[in-house]
Amino acid sequence: MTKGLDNLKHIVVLMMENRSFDHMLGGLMAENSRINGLTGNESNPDSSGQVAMVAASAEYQGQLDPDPDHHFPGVNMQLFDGTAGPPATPSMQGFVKSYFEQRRDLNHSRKIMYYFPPEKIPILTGLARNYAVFNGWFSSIPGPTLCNRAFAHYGTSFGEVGMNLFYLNVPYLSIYERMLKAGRTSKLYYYDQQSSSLEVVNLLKNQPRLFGVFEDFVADCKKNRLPDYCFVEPNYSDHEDDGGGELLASDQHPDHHVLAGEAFIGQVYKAIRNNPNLWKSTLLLVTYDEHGGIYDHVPPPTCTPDGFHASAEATGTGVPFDFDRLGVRVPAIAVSPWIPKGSVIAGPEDPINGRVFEHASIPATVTNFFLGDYDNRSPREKAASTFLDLLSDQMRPENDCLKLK
Amino acid sequence: MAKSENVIRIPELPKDAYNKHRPVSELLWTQVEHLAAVVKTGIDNERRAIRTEGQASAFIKKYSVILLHCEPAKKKPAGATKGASKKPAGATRKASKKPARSSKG
Repeated sequence: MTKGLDNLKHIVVLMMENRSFDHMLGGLMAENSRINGLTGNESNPDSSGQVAMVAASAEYQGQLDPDPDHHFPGVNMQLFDGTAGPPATPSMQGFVKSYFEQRRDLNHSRKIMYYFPPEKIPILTGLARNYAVFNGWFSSIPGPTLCNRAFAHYGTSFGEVGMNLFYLNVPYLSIYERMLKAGRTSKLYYYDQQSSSLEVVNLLKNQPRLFGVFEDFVADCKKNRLPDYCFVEPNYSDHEDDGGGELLASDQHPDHHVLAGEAFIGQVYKAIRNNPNLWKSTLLLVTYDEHGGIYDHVPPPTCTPDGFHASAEATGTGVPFDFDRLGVRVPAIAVSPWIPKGSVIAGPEDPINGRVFEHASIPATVTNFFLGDYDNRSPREKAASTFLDLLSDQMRPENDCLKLK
Repeated sequence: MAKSENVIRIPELPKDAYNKHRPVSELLWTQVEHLAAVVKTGIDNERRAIRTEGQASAFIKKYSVILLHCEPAKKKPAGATKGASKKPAGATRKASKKPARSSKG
């Protein structure tokens, strides 16, 4: 066991919305070739047969409207470009054509290939440069938000590939319920009452003690009351606070302002970083639920089947799904002073040492660390890679770690 | 050089980014539907659990308040209580200075 692991007391996960790895972090490859981002030569054909290249032209807002399709059939199109699909390896050539279908505007459809130059999103790229980037963290399902988030909470979506999730009488407990049952502490912090939690059905009605708002998170960080494991949700809507002030959505879901999400990631980081006790004993994972229909160049790999089955009707593709392949790659960054600066965790690009992570890696890691042997989990969670081996024996000095002002 | 790279300023947000009139996204709409379903399920569960007049009146009061978006009515109709209330007659009447908001019917 490393000293970093010895010191670990808290795991915090912040899950943002709907951005692909290449869109957010792909530009970092130009400065660090170990990051599996964009060379600048990646492309997709558009609906007229012309080549649409990737470009560092992503905007904070107003560019991805309408919201790019990220339902199961849409993602299938993005991955397989209208070909027969599995078992073939995804070509990643159908993103532009998929987006074209929504507005039937060729120029607009090419914007799905745009990515952020690293300097436009300094918080996320700053964390990536300073801590550990996962080259191979994938969304759990080639589909939308709620089924993907379910993997972070339960290690499975119980056979769902869409947004209509009502987990009643399910065979596995959420990670929060497991923790409480074992006498550990766990919380899900949502932004405020107006934003609430996307887990409202699954947890809120029976487990109010599991929930807090973001103000509670900040206060708990300050007062050394952070639970063993917690999950932080951003603000999902532009709305007024109780005093009439304007609150921006901070989830980075298109078409919400990306800088608001940057600021929110910064707030979470600062809340942990500014308490020395917490800083040395906490691992923060920042990730995204799914790619939101936005281009990424890495074909999602196959995975251990989940033990569940979605019918051809449920997938909307005419082909059933056995939860045996992952969704599109998303940004994931592990943050701790025990992680060497500039770490890059190799993914599928390294056939020998590369590792694949997905959202089931979250409950898998938390369960393994806090609960040890725990059998009643989905096959996917049991097979998922865990990530606490990133913590080293060496705690970096204070002035070596990123500061935010 | 190395030190300055380690300090990043949290970006300022443009004021025109705020738009509460943006059409509701599918994600938010799903959240609304799920919340409505939970509320409905909760009400149904409470309703099914009712066995006594006391439970029924508690249920009726709770949801009447929500429906009316107001404080529970303080004024009781004359003769409605039979010995159970130990409050002196007129106590609730005195306390209530607000005009009745919905006493039709």
